[in-house]
Amino acid sequence: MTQEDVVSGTMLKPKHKKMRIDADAETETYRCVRCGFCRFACPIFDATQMESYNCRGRIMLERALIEGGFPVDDYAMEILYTCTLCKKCEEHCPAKIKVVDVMDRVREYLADNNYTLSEHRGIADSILEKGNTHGMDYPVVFNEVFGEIKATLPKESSTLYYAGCVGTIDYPDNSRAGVKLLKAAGEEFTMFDSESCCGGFLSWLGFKPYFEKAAKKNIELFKSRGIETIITACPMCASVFNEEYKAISPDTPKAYHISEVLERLIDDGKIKMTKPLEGKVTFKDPCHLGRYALKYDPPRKIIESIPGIEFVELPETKGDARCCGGPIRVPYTELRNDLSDEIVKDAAKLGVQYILTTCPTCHHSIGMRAYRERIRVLELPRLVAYSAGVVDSYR
Amino acid sequence: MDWQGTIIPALKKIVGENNVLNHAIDLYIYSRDASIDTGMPAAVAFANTTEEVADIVKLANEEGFSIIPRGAGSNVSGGVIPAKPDCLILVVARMNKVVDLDVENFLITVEPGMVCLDLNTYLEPYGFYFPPDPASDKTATIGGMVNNNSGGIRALKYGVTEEWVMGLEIVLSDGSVVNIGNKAIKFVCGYDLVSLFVGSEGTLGIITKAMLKIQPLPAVRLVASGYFNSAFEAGKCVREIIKRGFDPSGTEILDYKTLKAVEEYSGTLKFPECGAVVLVELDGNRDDVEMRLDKLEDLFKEMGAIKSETARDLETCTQVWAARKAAFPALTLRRPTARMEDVSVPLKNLPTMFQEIDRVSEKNGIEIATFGHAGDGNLHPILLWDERDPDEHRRALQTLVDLWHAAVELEGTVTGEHGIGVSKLMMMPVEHQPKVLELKKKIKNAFDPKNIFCPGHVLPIPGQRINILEDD
Repeated sequence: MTQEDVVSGTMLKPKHKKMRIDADAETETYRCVRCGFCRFACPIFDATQMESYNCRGRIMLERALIEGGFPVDDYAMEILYTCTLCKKCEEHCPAKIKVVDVMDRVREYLADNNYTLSEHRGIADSILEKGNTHGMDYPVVFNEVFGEIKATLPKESSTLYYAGCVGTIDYPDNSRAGVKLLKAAGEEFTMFDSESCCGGFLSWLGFKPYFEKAAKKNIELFKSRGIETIITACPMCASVFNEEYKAISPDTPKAYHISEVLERLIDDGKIKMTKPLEGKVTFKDPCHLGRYALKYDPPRKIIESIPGIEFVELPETKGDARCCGGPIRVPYTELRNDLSDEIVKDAAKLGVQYILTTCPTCHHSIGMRAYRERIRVLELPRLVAYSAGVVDSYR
Repeated sequence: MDWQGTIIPALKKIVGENNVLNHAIDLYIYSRDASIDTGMPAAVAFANTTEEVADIVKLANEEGFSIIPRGAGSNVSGGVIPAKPDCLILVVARMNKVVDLDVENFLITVEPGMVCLDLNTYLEPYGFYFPPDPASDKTATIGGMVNNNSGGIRALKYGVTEEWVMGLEIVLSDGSVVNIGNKAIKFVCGYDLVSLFVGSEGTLGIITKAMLKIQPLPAVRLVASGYFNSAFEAGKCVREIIKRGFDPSGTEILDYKTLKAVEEYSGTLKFPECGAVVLVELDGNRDDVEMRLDKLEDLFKEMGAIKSETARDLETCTQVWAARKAAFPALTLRRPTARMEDVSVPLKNLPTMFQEIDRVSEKNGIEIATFGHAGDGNLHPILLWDERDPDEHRRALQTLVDLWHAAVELEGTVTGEHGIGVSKLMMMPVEHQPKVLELKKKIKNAFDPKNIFCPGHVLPIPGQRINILEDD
């Protein structure tokens, strides 16, 4: 690339197929003034220290693809798919560029035009064929995890507990503990015989027609079972239901993250925590509960109610919380590790024994790295269940 | 020039395999900063030490390529944009450590990649701060601030970066490393090279360390706002505030269009119907500041303000400054392309400059909203257009040129704090006599005879397109 490739002003000569995204998203890329404030925010820039992996660089690349200045090659794909969609840049962008919306359209274009990674196609196939991100025989796994407790729940209820596939498969004890806790607190809800993945990853990776198919299947099921409210332990699922399903079908049931429900139950005295957790803890805000849903207080109020606990905030918290990198683990595991390592480093400096979270993906990502600092990652619902005497252990 | 076969392998040997980029996408992304200019580098390298910088400069001498040092790339004058082929972008942003804190002498020495806000965060527990405060302090690096002699809101009282730099470590154009300046406050031992390097925009050498003065934090900073019927009247009030010895640490004006944009942007702020607002910050001990604030309210009335307000607690003051800091981003929401200018005029001519801004805006049919550091005569007219529309783009460029000429006509300058870079070269012969330009060329030649550092910045090179109204 040389200066000869610039046609006028800063526009590039169209040498390749032009990327087509909707006009609003296209204008967003031109509105970026390249002030670089995202250097302060983007976790991938923080890890790489390269502008190409910064929000500003990605927007420049998106603009260049719109102008047909570059082909979509492997490097362009890597730059565009290493964005974790964590929205931290949007907290800091003075021009209020809708970075994640633009990336959403860009990835839709890429997938529609067969610019996809084989690893991502693998995830899509798993979700579409097996109903979960891990390619497991999900009805079997789901029944193993929840079979016993499901039998004690009403068959029909207007409230659904939707466990979510990542938590169910990776952390069955935590997932079960959440259900037991809600039941013990007297909440009335049902669970399906099995679940089908919310499809969030299909959407985030750009496979929009597949996402719509997965979403419509779930929406139909919710309707046919008379579901009016959803409780889920996965903030990603909650966000997908409340934002993306609603865009497809406005009468999608309202989804609540379990921490919102637990906060209410503790306030109402229906959950009484008596067993202490002796130790110093911090809390990692999941991106989808925090910046996506703006639910910063419920987890903190719950933590403050746990006896014996010493709570300290991470240096970057709430809207400024770091991303664990979970959404890009496949295939960018090393980069994901870099992101989680920074959270672990911050926690280690605080001298905590535990990092609490309310997201199975955060749990997985940070947990894979925290052991090296002798820090354990705990999920809040299970810890509450332990303190309330509903389960015997919190880890 | 053999980049692939010779230069890139040699660069990798100096800074490491992973610290050199030359993929077309990387080059494109490093071809721009926050200006509207562009220029493609041949490669990008990341330096971590002074020694690496020096070795790269020696390599440039051997191979004949040019070097443009880059910090955060947040400047708005094309200061890190190559003006010719065969340029290496040398990123020094990773050199961001505190080298030495010397509290007893009120000094701190930092590497050039240290971000201004990080520096102040570091200093706060010691009760100090670094006064130059560009609006981009969240991302602007000290190296960039020294090279551009950055100002900011508080330049009115505390001066620009130049007044806070005591010494520099510089890699010269032959690759040698020198230290200039002194820890002593009074220092007149020969030519003041520090002052020469501050504001030299990277054209004379590469800054690898900066020794800076630091200032004790004031006890309080309080703010008053006066709303006027026109920017012209607001400008007159600013002059009176200074004349009567209020000693403000900042005096900002936001015009009507900017206020409307900030209202829309914030969703919560609401300003009285007016032509412009004057924001005044006073700092010092509380009793003194409170007393000056009371008198300031009286002055606003005397100068015909429609309304005035004072903010006497931290929260309200923070809200007022948040409105000022939102000015540029708020305006970027209005059109796809926004360019911030930084014309600066003598205070007496400030009200007239506001009228000139309206005139060139109307003449060319390009929207301009204006705010800025009115207390020192430095304004930020923001031009708003869509660069994808060729006709509007051409009119926007004509507006820029008209604006620059208006500032010079009013005995001012095209740039108060952003620098010339590659963006405003065409105005150098307008602002400077031919003999003065000759002197500047001789200075450049004395430090960098091979034109290794930032060729085509500040002073043009043969064949360079400097008239922004000429077609590419």
